[in-house]
Parts: sequence; structure tokens; C-alpha cells
Amino acid sequence: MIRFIPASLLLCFFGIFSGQVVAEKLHLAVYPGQEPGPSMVILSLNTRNMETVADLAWLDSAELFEVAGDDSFQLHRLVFTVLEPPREFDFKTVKGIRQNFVIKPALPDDVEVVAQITIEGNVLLSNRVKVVRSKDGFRDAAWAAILLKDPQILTDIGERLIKQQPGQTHGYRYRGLALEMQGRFAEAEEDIKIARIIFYENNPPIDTDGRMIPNWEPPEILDRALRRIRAAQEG
Amino acid sequence: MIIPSSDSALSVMFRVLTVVCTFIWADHANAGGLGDFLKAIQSLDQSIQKKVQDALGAPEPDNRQAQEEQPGTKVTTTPVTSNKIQIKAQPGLAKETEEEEDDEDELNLISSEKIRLKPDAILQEGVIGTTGKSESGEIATTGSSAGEGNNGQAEVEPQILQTSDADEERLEAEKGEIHWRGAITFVIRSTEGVDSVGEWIESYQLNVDWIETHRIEVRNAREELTGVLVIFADHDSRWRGEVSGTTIQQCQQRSYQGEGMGVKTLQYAWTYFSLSDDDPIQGVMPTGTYHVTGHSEEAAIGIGVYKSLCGTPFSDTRDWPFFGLKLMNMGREVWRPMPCSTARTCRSATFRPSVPFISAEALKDKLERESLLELGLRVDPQTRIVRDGVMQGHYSVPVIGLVDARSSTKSVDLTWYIERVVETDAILELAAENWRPEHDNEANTLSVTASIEQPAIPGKFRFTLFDVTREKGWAMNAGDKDDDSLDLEFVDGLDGFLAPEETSDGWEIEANRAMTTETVKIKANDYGAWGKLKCEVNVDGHWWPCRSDDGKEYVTIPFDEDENKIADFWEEQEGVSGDAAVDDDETPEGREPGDGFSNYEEYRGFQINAEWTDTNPTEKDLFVHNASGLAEIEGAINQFEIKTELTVHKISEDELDLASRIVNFNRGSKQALSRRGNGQKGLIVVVRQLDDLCGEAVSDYSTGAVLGGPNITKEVVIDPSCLFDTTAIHELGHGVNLWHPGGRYLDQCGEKIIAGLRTPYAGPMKNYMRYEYAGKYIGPDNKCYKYPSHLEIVPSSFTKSLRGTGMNSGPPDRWEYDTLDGVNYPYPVSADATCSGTLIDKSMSLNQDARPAPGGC
Repeated sequence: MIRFIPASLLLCFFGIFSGQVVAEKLHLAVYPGQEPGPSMVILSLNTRNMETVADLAWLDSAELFEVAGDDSFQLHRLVFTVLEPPREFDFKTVKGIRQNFVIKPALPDDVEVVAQITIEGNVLLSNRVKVVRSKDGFRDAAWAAILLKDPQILTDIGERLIKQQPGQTHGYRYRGLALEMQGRFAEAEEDIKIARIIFYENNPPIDTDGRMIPNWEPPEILDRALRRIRAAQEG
Repeated sequence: MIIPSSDSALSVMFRVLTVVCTFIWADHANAGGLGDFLKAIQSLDQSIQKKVQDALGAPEPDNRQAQEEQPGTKVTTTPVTSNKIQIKAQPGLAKETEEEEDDEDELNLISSEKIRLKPDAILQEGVIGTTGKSESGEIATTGSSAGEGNNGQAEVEPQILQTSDADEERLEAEKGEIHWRGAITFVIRSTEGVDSVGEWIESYQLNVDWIETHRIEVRNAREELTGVLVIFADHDSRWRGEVSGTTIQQCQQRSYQGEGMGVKTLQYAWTYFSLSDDDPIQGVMPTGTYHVTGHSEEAAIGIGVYKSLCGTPFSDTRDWPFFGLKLMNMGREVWRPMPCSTARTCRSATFRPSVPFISAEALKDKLERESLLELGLRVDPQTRIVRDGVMQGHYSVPVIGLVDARSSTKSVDLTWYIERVVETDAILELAAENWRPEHDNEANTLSVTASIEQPAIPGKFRFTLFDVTREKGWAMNAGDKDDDSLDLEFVDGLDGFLAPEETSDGWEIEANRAMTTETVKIKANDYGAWGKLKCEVNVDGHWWPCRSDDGKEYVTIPFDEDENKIADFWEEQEGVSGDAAVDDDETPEGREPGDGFSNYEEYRGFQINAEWTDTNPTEKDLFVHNASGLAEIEGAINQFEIKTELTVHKISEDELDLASRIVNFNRGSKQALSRRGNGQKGLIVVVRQLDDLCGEAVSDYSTGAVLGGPNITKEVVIDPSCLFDTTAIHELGHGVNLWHPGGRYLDQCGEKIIAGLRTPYAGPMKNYMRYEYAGKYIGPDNKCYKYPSHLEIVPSSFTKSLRGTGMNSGPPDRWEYDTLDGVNYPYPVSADATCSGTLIDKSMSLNQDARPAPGGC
């Protein structure tokens, strides 16, 4: 069900908002996903003031809206599901609380999404995010599947990519990660190793003069996967 | 008919003439004698003077009456028959006999307030008139006197026309007044008629010191100040005159002798100064027009001696009223404000006193009307103009209308040179030292005051802002890039000022009133706004420049003695000085000083997270845009700032140019020498799937460099799966030209990349720039070994040392037993770092483009 709420009303609330949390930042990140899968939305309340105590319950009031077309003053409430409770994070100088939301079906291209939470009767709006998908649509679907820990979708994407682009790493990487999720570590290791080989072929560390490229970085995602898999294998 | 010979004819004529003269004498003797005859002549001259007076229109009493009414005035009249008076042949001199000396005890002032006698040769010979003392007790003499020697005038001053010490003190005390000082030579020549020979001459020398007493504003219909009428009065003027001459007409000889001196020279005088280009009366009374009419009561005093040359000799001597200064006219009299003693009464002489100024249009009408009518006697028909502060002129004209019944003539010869001696000294105060420009902050206006210090008379001020900067936008990274409007302006609507007008390089604002002090308010439209302010004040039609306390004709806005466009207080506060284009931030230490922003740019400041701030010119600043907005990246940037000791500013996407990544996109003046006009770029951190990599510092290969500072690093990309580790810090390190600790690539031992000497795994373990977790390494024995991952540590700093720590530490060729697998391993694994580019204090760089790779990399 979609209800319409005047955005100006929200802004009005925001304008008169006062208190310590007004300096905090409600940040919305959207991972668009791809149909038939869902979109993922991550809502974080960053407390720059390290003395601010954020209450996880604040995120219970979270609401998500799609801005209707070009009319910034009309919002469509979005329906979402929550897979896990909000959690705290601490990145030393930045800490806060965060929650993931699943919107299914996936959000269409180019729509704008905004979130709000209500704290002690005051409304705090997030940044607005426009849904923009990568050129390679599989990346968005794969990342949503990773975040949702959905090995099936990831396997499907990986196998399709292995067939379509055998000279690229992502098919093996996605399938390897899906196999890792499923606990099929040997198969996973195999796929990740293949991905590493392809990576080095496609991204040699040295230039044509045989010198190491100064800002060349190793395939850390693959290496980490291998380390996890091996660690898992070793028990 | 018998025609007589010429001799006989002359003889007959002589007899007839003698008879006639006898009858006339007898007649006059009966009716008062020769005295009445002389009175008749005197009366005639008085009637002529009356004509002059009427023509001049001054309402003062008759000159003779004035003399008669003067308290204590003594007119010496001596019968010609008396032998007590002897007229010497020397012109202009008369001697008084000893019998007259008693009269010298009665010293009287005639008309001058203060008359001092100069003991020149003539006076030594004797002066016609009386001698008196002023109220102050000074010896005062005027008119005629008689007698030998100096007449007992012991206290005469040796140089009456020179300035004494006392005068100097007085002049000092009179600072603030405007004086006109100079000399006038004035001569009146008179004849008795066509059948008369000879002439008598009144000659006057004036040393004038006039003072400007009143100023009457003239305003146009919009009540804008367009001009000022200035009224003069005598201040310390002196005049001296003498009269001499003889005329002979048939049997009559008339001799005139006189002398005098005084301190009154002006009946009235004025000048007009236009203060506006849009002055309605400029056409009829140009700026500098002046008129002077000499004092109606001041003239030499002397005697007229009538002597009969035929028949029985007789003579008569009378005090004689000479014309004196009343015939002294300079400039056509187009306006007559007198009599008046205050600006109000001067004004009311012509116009309604209730209006506090004269209407320019009404005055124009009046002037044009009077110009057409040509009212009154105009001895000097020319319009005279003050030029360069000087009244100067000469004319020699017959005095029209002063021809008496005996066809006598008079002519006037006048030469004058009078200077305005006091210059206007106006002071423009320096800008407040602790003021700096701010964009669009009405509360941050700067008030600057200018005052006329000398003379303290009101003038119309004009302030000019010039050389004003036109920086784009209003801060280095804020405001419209296409906006190059003036960065300083006058606050509009200032009381007493017209609306400001824009010029090519600033603004001009003009007062709409005459004041001795004016204050303008200046507002800035840019945090780097700079300009110069000058002031001029129009006193009597001449614009005088104001001077600042430091002797310049302008002040800088803001206060900036070295004019490097940075407010001095800010430089002092930040510990910098000199060239504002310098970029030599010293801390933290790196490959070279500087951060890509000049001192001026750091002073002008930046918009950071929607708030403006200036930056410290001694500390290196790095601008980073966290395009992801993710808290993980923000945390990483914060950590990066802490570890590098850089001042890192997290800016939003509109606070740098996203396409070029240039932060100071509004740069203009005083760009950093280090950047050579190229601007300084910031780092952009994005979170994007990188497939296999955790992070990448993407170089702008068009620069020709693979690694460098922010001007080389196109993008720092972090994969979303690597947000929780130090990847972002590592990649940001590349963004400030930090390198991996070694550049040796090893792909042995069945691995694509392994650790070992001079590899990126070398050096201090905690170095953010080091690779972690190799699968294997090559030991000093050149054999492959399993990488001791259990000895890895989480990076926590950038390094200033190449020396290896942990598994990379020395001494070399040591073997350690690994309890995990029960095998001995050779150490160090990768040993010391070899690439100096990994050293933060040697390689970190913000302001350079492509540079050669550091050694050992």
C-alpha cells in the first residue's frame, strides 16, 4: 500500500528539529539489485559526536519513501522487510547504528529514495539516493545476493557468467563465494583459484619493462576468500 | 574797427579776468568767501561719491558723515591765510607748525580699528592728519598731520606689513580657517576738466588677509548639493594710501595731499564654488566666480588747497574726502549678499531664510535677470574666476558715470594677486586591523571614516573603492564560477550619501551634504575580497585628496600594509608573511612543502560541509570527497587524517569540481606558485565493486605518472566487501604519493606473488602501505617457504623508517622454529623496505604533478 505524505511537512519537522542528534547524519545507501531479486537498502545513523548515545530502537521508526517523479513534494511510502535487527557499528572516529532493508521487487532505475526516522517526536530525514544500476546488471544482482547471503542467486549468476565470459574472473568468483556459503569449500577453493589465475593473466603486476606497477594491488578479495576457505577446511 | 594787438588784447583779457575774480572773491567773501567756494567744490566731489555709492548700493552712511560721527574724530582745518601751515613743494607732504603740537595729545582713531605707522621717508617728513591710540594702546595714526621730524611717534613699528612672532602664534592658533592673502595696488587718477592741466592721484597699497566667514549651500531641485557660496571678511588686512597732485585751471590751482592707512579693505566679497558636474548655475556663474568691493569708509585723509593765481593772492585749505577703496572692484558683481553676518542672514539677503540653503534654480533665475538688467555701476565689468586658488587680475578703466559738471574725469587702475593659503588636509583612517572580508555577512561591514583636519570646514566627500578584486564565486570552492563581480562594495542607503555608482574597478559614492567627517560602510562579497579605498573632499569646488595615517592617498581594505591581498592580522595570526602566492606549508613533513594552496587561497578559505573556513597556511590541507557517504569510509578518512597528520577536509560533491577534481576551482589572484596555475585537486573516494580487488588508487594516466599525489590520483575506489579493514587508508596513502615498501615482483614457488626481499611485503609490519598475507616467501637461502600468516599484524601507521619489524626484522639469516607446524623458518621474511616512496616523511606529496619514481621502488 502506498500512502502520500507531503514532503514539506517532513521538512518542516526537520527544520524545527533541535537537540543533540540534529548534528547527526542519517545516511541511506541503496544497492539496487536486479529483478527478480530484491533491492537492498542500508540505513545508518552516524553519530559524529562520539558522546552521542544512539538508541537502536530509533531505527524501528524507519520509513522509506520513493520520491514521486519530479515532484519533490510527493513521497510514496515504500514497503520493505527486515531480515535482522539493527546493529551498532564503530569505526573508531565514526560510530552509529545501522539496519538493512529489503525491498522486493527491486527498485526501478532512476527513482529517488529517501528515508526518515522519528526520534522523540522529531523527524530526521536521510540523504536522497537515486537508483542507478551498473552497466553490467549482474553486479547489482550479485552484490544483493552476497548481502542477502543467497547462494542460489549467486550460483545462477556465476554459472551464467562462466558460460558467457569464461575469460573473466567474476563467474568463478561468484560461484566460488556461493559454494563457500554452502560449505562446499573444496569446490569453492577451486573456483577461487581459477579466478586468481585469470586475474593475474588479465592484470599483470609488471609493466612491459618488467618493473612492478607501483599502485598494483593483489586480488585481495580472492585471497581473502582462499584464506577463509582454507581456514574453514582446516577447521 | 580797431583791432587790438595781441599784447593789448591779452592785457584787456587780464583786466577783465581780474575784475571777474575780484567780483567772485567779493561775492564769496560776503557769503563766506573762498571757504564757501571750496565747500562748493567739495560738495561736488561728495555728490560724485554719492553717485558711486548709490551705484554700488551699499547702505553705509556717507563717508564724511562717518568721519564726523566717529567718536573722537578731529578734523583739522586751517585757514589758508594762516602762516602756520606751509605746504611744501614736495608732493604729498604737509608740515604742521609747532603751534599745532598741542593737538597731538588728542590722538584719535578715524576709521581704522588698528592703524600702525611705518616710519618711512614720507612720514618722517610729516603726515597730514591725526595720530591716535587704539584701545589696546597701540600708536595709531591716520589722516593728516603736520610738523617736523617723526612727530613724536616713538612707538611706531618698524615693519607693519611683516609677520611678527606674535602673528605666527596667532596664525598657528587659527588653523582651520581659510585665508586669502595677497597684495593689491589700486590707483585713482582724477582731473578737473578739459580746461585743466594736471591730475591728482590716489594710490593705495593693500596687503590683504581675508578670511572665509560663511558658507551658503546651493542645492538643486532634488536638494543635491551643487555648490557653495563663500563669504569673505577682513581678518588682518592692511592698507596704506597717499594722495598728491595739483591741477591748474585758469587762475585756480588746486593741490591735494593726503595719506592714510587702515585695516579694513572689504565692504563685501564672495566667491562661488561649484561642487557638481550637474550644477544649474554653472552657465551663469562658473565655479570660482568672485567679486570684491572695497570698503566704503576707507580712504586716505588729506587736504585740498585752493590757490588763486590771479589778482589778489589768496588760498584756502580744507580737509578733503578722497574716494578711497570704495572704487576698488574686482569681478563683475553678479550677486550681492551683503549686508550679512551669518550664513542665515547672508542667505536671507537674497532668499527665504527659512530654507537652509539657496535654491540653485532660483539663484540662476536671479543671476540671469540681473545679468540682463546690468544694474548698478560696474567698475570691473569682467567675470573673474579663481584659478588654482588664486584671484589675479588687472584692469585700467575710466569710471563711467563719475563725470562732474566741470567735466572732470576719473580712472581706476587695479592690480591684484591674492592666494588661498590654507590647503585642505583630510585624513582617511586606516581600516580596522582585525577586520577580514566575509561573504554576504551584513553584520561584518567595515566602517571607514574620513575627516577634514584642516581647515575644519565642511566639504563634500567622495569615497572610491578601486583596484577591487573580482574573484570568482565567494570562496575557493564556493559560489558561482562565472561570477566575477566586484568583491567589495559600499553599503547602499548610507545616510547622507547618494547611491553608489559602479566603476570599472570598484565603486564610487558621493555625499549629499557638506560635513567635516563622513563614514562609509563597506561590505564584502567574497572571503578574499580586497581593494583600495580613497577619499576626496570637495571644499569650494576643488577636490582635495584625503591622506591616510601612513601618508598614502588610499587605504587597503582590509588592512594590508604589504598589499599582498591578505589581511595583515591574519598573516600575523598564522605566522606567514610576504608573497601571498607562496605555498610552503611545512607540516607534516613530506617530500616537499606545500599543499597546493597559496597563502592567499588558504586565507580566502573553503566551503567545507556547507560551512566556510579558512585553513592554516603552515599545515598541509587535503580535501577528500567521500562520494559513498558511508560511515566506513568516513571512519577510514578520519583515521587517515590522524595517521598522516594532514589536515583532511571532507567535502561534499559540490565543494569541488567533480569533473576535474579541482578544489580551488574559483582560483584567481595569487595562485599557488607550486601549481603554476593548474589548481589543486582533491581525492574522491567511491565505493564500487572492483570484482577481485579490495581497493585501488586509480591514476590519471594523462598526467604521465602512475603514482602521485591528489593531482595524479583520479579516484580511490573501495570494494564494498572491504569497507571494514584498512584498505581505504592504504589507497588513500597512494593518493598522497605513498608507495609500497618494495617493487620487486616474485612469482615463484607456484604462486603468482610471494613475499621476499625488496617485495611489497617488506619493512615495518604496521605500515599501511605494505602487502599482507602472501601465500609463500623465498627465504635467504633462496628456497620457498610457507608464509607465516600467524605473524601478520593489522597495519596501524604510515612509516618513517624502512627497517623491517616482526617477521621482517633482522638479524639476517636467522632460523626460528615454528611451533605451529614444527618446522624451522628462515628470517627475516622480507627484511627492510627498499622503496623510499613508502616513507611518509620523505615521499608524501600533495602539490606536485608527475615526478620520477623514488629509489628502491
